[in-house]
Amino acid sequence: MKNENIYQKLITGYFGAMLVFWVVLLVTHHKGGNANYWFSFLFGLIPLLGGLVGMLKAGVWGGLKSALGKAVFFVSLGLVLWGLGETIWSYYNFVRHVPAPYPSLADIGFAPSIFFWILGTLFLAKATGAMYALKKSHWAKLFAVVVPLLLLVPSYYIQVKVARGGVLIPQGETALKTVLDIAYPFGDFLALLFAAVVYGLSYRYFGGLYRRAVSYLLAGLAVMYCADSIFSYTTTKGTYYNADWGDMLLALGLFLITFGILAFAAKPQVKLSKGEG
Amino acid sequence: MDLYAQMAVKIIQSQEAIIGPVAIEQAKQVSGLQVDWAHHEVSIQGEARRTINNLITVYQELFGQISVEVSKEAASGLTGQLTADQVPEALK
Repeated sequence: MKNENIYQKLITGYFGAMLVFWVVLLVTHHKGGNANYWFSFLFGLIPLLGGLVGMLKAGVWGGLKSALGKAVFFVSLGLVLWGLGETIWSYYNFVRHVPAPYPSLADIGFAPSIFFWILGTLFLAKATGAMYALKKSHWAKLFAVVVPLLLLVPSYYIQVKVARGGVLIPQGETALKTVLDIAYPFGDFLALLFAAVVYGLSYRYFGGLYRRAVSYLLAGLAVMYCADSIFSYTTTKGTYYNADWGDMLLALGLFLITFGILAFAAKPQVKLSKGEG
Repeated sequence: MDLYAQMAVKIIQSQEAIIGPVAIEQAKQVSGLQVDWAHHEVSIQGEARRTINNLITVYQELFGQISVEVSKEAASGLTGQLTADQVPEALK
């Protein structure tokens, strides 16, 4: 934790506490009730609070006036929206006694969060060199075409065949649920795709103080893809409960994105090496 | 402004588009570089090539090789006016 700032240290401590809480729920075989609802509510604070800090601190990088400022702002906005969605989810849990409210008002937070993560990743691509690579190298262009094609088939298999039992839109669904049933897997696929393409294209050019932070952020998007697929699988099978292992994976994905974005919440400290300057 | 100072302005501008005000704050820490960004003016005291190298190094410390590539692109219109031995090492 030598190079991490205070925000990153705090969120790591909080996530560690959440992990302990989850293990306690697991070993005590809690599969419903208030303790599980508390886990859902508390892990939702990771993106909510982390995202708020990220949005407020995007000004360090120029806010909406620079590529990195926009990246920090939009990824953070996505985190805040996800956190708000989880807070509404908890309202359904605690007040309305609905364990898995879908579709519900919580989706007003969850659904657009993916869009803002993708938008943020696009701006991040400029800072990490992915856009530069696309401009300069034919191999990079080929990579940007091949990766989506390679991901499409396994992703369809995971998200539709496995997670949704081969039925993307079950009969008799409401219009809202139909839209969400398409939007979530498609959004998750795009987020995974952008994370993979930006990481691959940036690999040769990106380094320095922020390399690890960006890697965590992009890894977080990939984890969210897995976690969302597990959520769909468990809700389709009827085995979902708050604080199950899919929720723990969601918490991990959100922690990684938040941890990555919070690296940009403090001004960088660069010291020139001896002999320079 | 001499050619190296113009080069510094171009590099800082290109980095500012990516990382915002941090680009100017970092430039102000480079020894020998006086930055008056309100007027987009820069002056260099001492060995100019070394100062440009140091400027690129502070950006490189933050984001790695992409910072060098962006700087090269920004200064490309000016490096052509220099002989090979006058071009700062980081821009070759």
